[in-house]
Amino acid sequence: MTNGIRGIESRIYQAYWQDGSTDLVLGLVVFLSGLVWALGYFAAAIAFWAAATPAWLLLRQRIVEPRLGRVRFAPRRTGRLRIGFMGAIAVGLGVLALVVTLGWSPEAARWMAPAIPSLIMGMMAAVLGAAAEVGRFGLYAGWFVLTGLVIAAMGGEPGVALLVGGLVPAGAGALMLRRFLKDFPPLSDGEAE
Amino acid sequence: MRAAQLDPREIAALDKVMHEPARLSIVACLYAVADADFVFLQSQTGMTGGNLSAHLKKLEQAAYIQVTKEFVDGRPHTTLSLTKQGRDAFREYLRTLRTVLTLLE
Repeated sequence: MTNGIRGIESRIYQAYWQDGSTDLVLGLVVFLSGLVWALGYFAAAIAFWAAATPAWLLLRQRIVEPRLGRVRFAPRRTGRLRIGFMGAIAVGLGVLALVVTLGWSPEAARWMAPAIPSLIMGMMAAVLGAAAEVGRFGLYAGWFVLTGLVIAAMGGEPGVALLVGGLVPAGAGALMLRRFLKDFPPLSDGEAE
Repeated sequence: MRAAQLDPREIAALDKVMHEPARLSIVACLYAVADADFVFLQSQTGMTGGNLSAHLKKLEQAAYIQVTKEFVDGRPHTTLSLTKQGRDAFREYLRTLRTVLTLLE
């Protein structure tokens, strides 16, 4: 593949992530998880995470694809993305396992405990962003880590850290989706008509 | 003088199906991905449905693209991909174009 073609492929790939649906779903899931956690219904957060992928697929199918269309990337891309998704989950679970099994000193653990879910979110967002080559996910990662540490330092709850952390990607996603809907009117499959 | 070395037949050898901006943008787009649907090509190339459809027909006649029509959720859906012949033709087109440009410079 020539540099020019690689550039076209890269531009198409970037365009695939510019509708904001991924940011919106990620942000809403983190926000809602934090909300139910803060309200004392930690188990309910699992339902939001379970619904995340179907919700994202539905959003893409109903809102994004009629405007942007559907594309299948080369195996190199999809393989990398799949590894990224699995890597993000593995990193999250790995950090969680490390915290639970090895632990830090009791004081450090006590101080850091409220930040841990946000730190995990941050690492997952960073891995996912690197795999998908979407730079703003690195910013979300930094934001998750920052909110986690600040809320922990203030003696807040982990749910509150997630709630605040989810606001930025959800807000950015909503704005991007709004712009996308404005810029891309629905198109019809003229070939099949 | 390098331009003197240019054989006009090199220019004439450029693939005429490919050597049209709209079709070239379609082929370049499809070359970069595994496959894409009609709407995707429309959104990426900025062509109208009718215009895109006309160019796709020419590419299909040249056996450069494979057109798969199916129904998804009760709606017609067209998926397009480059054939091996289309990929080879695009690479050959680039090679010829590069030669011509080098000689013209």
